Amino acid sequence: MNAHMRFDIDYVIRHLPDFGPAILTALELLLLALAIAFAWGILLAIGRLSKGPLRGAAAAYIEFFRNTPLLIQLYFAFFALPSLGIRLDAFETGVAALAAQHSAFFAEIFRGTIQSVASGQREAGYALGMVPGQLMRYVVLPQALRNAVPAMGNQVILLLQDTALVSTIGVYEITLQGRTLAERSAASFEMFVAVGLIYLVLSTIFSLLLRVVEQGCRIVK
Amino acid sequence: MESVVQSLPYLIEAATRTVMLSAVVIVISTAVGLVGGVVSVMFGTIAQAVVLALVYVLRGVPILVQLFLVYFGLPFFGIRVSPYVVAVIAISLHMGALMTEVFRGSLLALPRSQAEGGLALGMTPLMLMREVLLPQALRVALPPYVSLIPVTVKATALASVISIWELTLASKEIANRTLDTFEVFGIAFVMYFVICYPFTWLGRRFERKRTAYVH
Repeated sequence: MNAHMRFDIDYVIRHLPDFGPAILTALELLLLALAIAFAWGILLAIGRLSKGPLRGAAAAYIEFFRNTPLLIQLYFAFFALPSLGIRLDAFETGVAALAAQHSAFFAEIFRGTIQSVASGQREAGYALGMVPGQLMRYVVLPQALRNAVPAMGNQVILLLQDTALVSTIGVYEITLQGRTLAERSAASFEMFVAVGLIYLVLSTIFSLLLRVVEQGCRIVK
Repeated sequence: MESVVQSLPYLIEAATRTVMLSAVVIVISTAVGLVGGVVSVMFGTIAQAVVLALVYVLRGVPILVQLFLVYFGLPFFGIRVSPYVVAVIAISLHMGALMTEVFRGSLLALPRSQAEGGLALGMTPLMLMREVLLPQALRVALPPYVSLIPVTVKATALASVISIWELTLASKEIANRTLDTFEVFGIAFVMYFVICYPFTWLGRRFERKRTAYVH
């Protein structure tokens, strides 16, 4: 082994195209989990701010998922759900676990921005004869969601990073692709430098995209 | 159910390993964060650019990937350490980057007059930092700092991937062996919650207190 300290860039470049499908899988994981976590997060936030019995249930859900690691939730979903008769493949399990955890964080973001909608807005809505459901849909949520965009952008980057964990249950996304190629060669370190760079490029692209969305969503431009 | 009772001591032992690993990581990443934060505001544009670039890279790469980078990277440079040390280094670097941002942000939040006043009194920059700026900045940093503690505890679960025996690896092993999946993971969830929730609660309380004061 005289390969010591020699950075084997050729092997990495030769296998770079192998990352194409892996990147697509990671993006699929990201977008599906994001869509579910977004919708579920809104419902959780509304539940958390309601007065009924849903309040406690939503709070318990949010605190549970915020205070336990995603990795062990992922293992639990992978090993325990089948015995409940819920049969999901590894990819679907990954989407479910990512969405379940990140919806709790989205809910906290939405809770904050829903609460910060000026009370005059609600009063005006009621004065116009709106019922609470209409008020939420047409007055409060549109403003709350716009104000949530910067914090959501941060959360999307964290979600992108968390897709790496799905490699542990055998989904061929970027990290597992990197591990497989690393194990097949002496260029393990080089491979993970490439994997790190891929994530860095992806999160940079997402940050830039999110900044554009942020500009477009500003209420006062 | 019987086997759950039998495996409880192992899970408790594993939970203490998680707490210990978290404590080590918090101590190191706090040091990293303090140095990073102070250096980035004290030593001019180049130091600031270097710190911000490092933070950007360490924040932009998943902790799991950083674990593998350190795991394979150290031997590449001829350094051999145990997987435990690998886990401590990798998680501390990532958390250190997050803490750098917390301390940097709190230092930048101080009014300029604080630094100007100190310099006018003839303080050296080091004295100014130690006697005037840091004591105030640490108070501002407290809520986000406390909120990073549960994040750190949750991050230590990733050490299980390079076979560090802590709560996540232990519960996975015991669940696979005894097939009491629900009970074993259930206990592990409760244990993580008991470790993390006090800090989540405290962080939120501090945050609320501060905003109550500001407004």
